[in-house]
Amino acid sequence: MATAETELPGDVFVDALRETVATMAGLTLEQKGPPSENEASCDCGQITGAMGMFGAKNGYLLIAAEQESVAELVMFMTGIEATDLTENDLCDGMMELVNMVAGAVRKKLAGSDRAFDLSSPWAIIGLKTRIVTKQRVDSYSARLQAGSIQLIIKIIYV
Amino acid sequence: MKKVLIVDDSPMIHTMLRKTLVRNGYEVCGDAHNGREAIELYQKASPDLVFMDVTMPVMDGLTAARQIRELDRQARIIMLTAMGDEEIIAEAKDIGVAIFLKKPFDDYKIVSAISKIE
Repeated sequence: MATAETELPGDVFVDALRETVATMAGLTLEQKGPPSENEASCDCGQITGAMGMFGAKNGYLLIAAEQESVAELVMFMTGIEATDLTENDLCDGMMELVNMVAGAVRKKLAGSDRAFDLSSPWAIIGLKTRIVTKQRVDSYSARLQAGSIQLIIKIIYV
Repeated sequence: MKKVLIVDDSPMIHTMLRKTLVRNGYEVCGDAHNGREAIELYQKASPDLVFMDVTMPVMDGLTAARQIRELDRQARIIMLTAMGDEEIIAEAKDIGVAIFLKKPFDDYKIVSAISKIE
């Protein structure tokens, strides 16, 4: 059974996402329902920003949303109308978002048994993508919302 | 009007920084997407200030900052990155980077940083 020290610090990731979105877009994300732990699969919408985390435990951080949510979020960040944003703009926005969240968490967890280094960010694009992991992997996911913007954050340790 | 060079591999960061800088009376004299482009544009545009990301393809921001400072000891560089490792901050200070800022950022953070080195 996991000890308190080794529990996946999902709240730290959620707090970093909230802080990043508040600072960059001026939006307050509220959690939508309870977080899910060790969920074997997760709907991820159309655009997912992802980064690898490498340390004593290796894993992935993913932030995902439907295209409309990403467009609205990037619009709040950049001031560019959502309809003028290209797919590349949306992917860049999600990659930069996951990069900032991962960077903030990396600093907070430095020196702990969850300390990690990071890969470059990348994006996954596609209709109705799902992330499926093996049963009982150490994972955490939460859904957050600000108005019509809905984001999913998922952390998977493999 | 002070000229600013923006160096970041994210187009979104260029857009956000440009918006903040122009709104506060600065001219963006160049957009570089990696360290090598930054050095070339620095020599062409002679900016008063550089906003530099750390992790970029082709050439990282610390290497570019070091080379720019070798070209111009008066170069004023603000590092802006999601990575805040103590080793990176120490190396940036050693190079002569004026200010090290952590992403995420807002207008206030950017304008405050500039005002500290003007």
